[in-house]
Amino acid sequence: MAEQSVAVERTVVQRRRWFRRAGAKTEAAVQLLSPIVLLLLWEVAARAGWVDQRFFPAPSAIVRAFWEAVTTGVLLHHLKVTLWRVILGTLIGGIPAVLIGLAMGLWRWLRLTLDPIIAATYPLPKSALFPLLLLIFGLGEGSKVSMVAIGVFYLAVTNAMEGVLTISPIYFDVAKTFGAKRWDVIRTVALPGAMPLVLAGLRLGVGTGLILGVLAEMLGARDGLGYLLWSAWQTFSVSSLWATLFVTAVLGFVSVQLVDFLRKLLVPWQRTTSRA
Amino acid sequence: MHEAVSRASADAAAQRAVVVRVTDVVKYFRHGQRQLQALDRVSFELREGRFLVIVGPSGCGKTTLLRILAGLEHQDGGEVWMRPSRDGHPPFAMVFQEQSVFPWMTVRDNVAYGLRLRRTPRAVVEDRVAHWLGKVGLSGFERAYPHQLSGGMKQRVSIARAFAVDPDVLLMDEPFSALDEQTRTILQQEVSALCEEQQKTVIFVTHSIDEAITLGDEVLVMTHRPGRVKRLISVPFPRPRDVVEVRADPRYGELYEEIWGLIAEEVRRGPREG
Repeated sequence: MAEQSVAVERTVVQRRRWFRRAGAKTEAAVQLLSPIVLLLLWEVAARAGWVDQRFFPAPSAIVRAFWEAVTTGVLLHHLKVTLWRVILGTLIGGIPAVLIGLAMGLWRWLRLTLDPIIAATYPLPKSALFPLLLLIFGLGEGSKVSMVAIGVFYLAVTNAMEGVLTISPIYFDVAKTFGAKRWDVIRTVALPGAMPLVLAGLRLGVGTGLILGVLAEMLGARDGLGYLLWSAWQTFSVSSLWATLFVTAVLGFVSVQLVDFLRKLLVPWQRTTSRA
Repeated sequence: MHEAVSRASADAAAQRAVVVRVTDVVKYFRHGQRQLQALDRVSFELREGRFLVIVGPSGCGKTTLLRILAGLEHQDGGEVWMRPSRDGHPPFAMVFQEQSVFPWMTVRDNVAYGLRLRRTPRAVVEDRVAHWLGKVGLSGFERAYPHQLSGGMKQRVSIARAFAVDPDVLLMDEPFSALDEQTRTILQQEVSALCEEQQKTVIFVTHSIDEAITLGDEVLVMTHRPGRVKRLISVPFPRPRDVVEVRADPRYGELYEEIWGLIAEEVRRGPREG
């Protein structure tokens, strides 16, 4: 009797997986094709003179500028500088944010104490803080790294807290009925239950951190992608402006992919593909 | 007042030890300004190996009563006693109504949950998990995550998790209410057989009269809020029992009518919902 019902249920599960996979392939193809088509249209438009080449040089010209910046090592140097700032800022802002956020979710009194402070400072545009940070840290690494850290911090802390608070109470009940002690409940329910939102917060945080980091580099730095963008404007080298813009976009994309990879490691139960 | 409670089931089970005793339990809920009484002097006792089903109109406090027994809520009056286990761990395990299987654990880790909290040696955990997954028909799904399972399979995991700690008492809070009818009948069949085989003492809350008769040795009918014991009814069907055959027995219809009459009375008496 048991075997029979399980067999029925098993085929249902398999059918669902198959459906999902077939759809995913088509979706991936569309996602790959659309930017290629856009680039082709752009190239044609630039060469035909439909768009102003001073602002929108042809993709082929951008690629040339890009290649030049790569071979001279300029681009790589600035990319490394920014990358290092983003990584450092993410660690400095992200680790305390996750710990504080989880603690706020777990302990009501801590939440009552810290939530008003976070809520009051959150709406402040973080970019407005940069002059103050320059004052405190000077033109060195500190001002840029702290800018990234602030960007990561706010999103990571609120999401980590929500991660704990949105766990269905039934899971805490289950733990209690099995005789779980306080630390058991934290270890087996609160932490794993909060993990999806913790990583969602980090994902958003890294994006914001990168924006703020590049902005800070434009305003007060002698290196980094932000600085490169700014000097490209000042020297009116539009192609290298575009090339740097492209690299910055790739950096953003890669860092979000890295967080997604981390999510797959830490939140395996959310994986949509089967483990068969 | 409690004439219904008084040993309605004077059969062979009467010699067995009392495992659960509920005496004059009272519970209030604060609802904004007002105070609502959820339970009013509920008393019953349950002997070892007996299957008690609690039914009543919705909002009669049957789930609250079960949560008090599980230590998830505290009563405002009266006493709840459960025979302590030999090893000092909770003497009961609970199977919940909704999806209570941890989504972040594999099937294996879910079933091992209670055992690991008790610091059970690894080899014993593995043995017991394999045993209970086999019992509920989930062998081969050890490494699956709950989101890959159907509702019925998840509830099987939940049942295996409860049985794995080998509790004296099983508390079940409408465990099958979210399942389709076929899956529900199959799981009723299996849980009934498992409880017979393992000699478990069970308290099972449901809103389904059919479930009460097919599973229970005793059916406790509760009144509308505040919940009181309206009547304790003995179910005459012997064990081992076939859930589907029971439904064909003429006494099933009589019992159904009797319990339905009692509940309908309460539904009519109670204030309209909303």
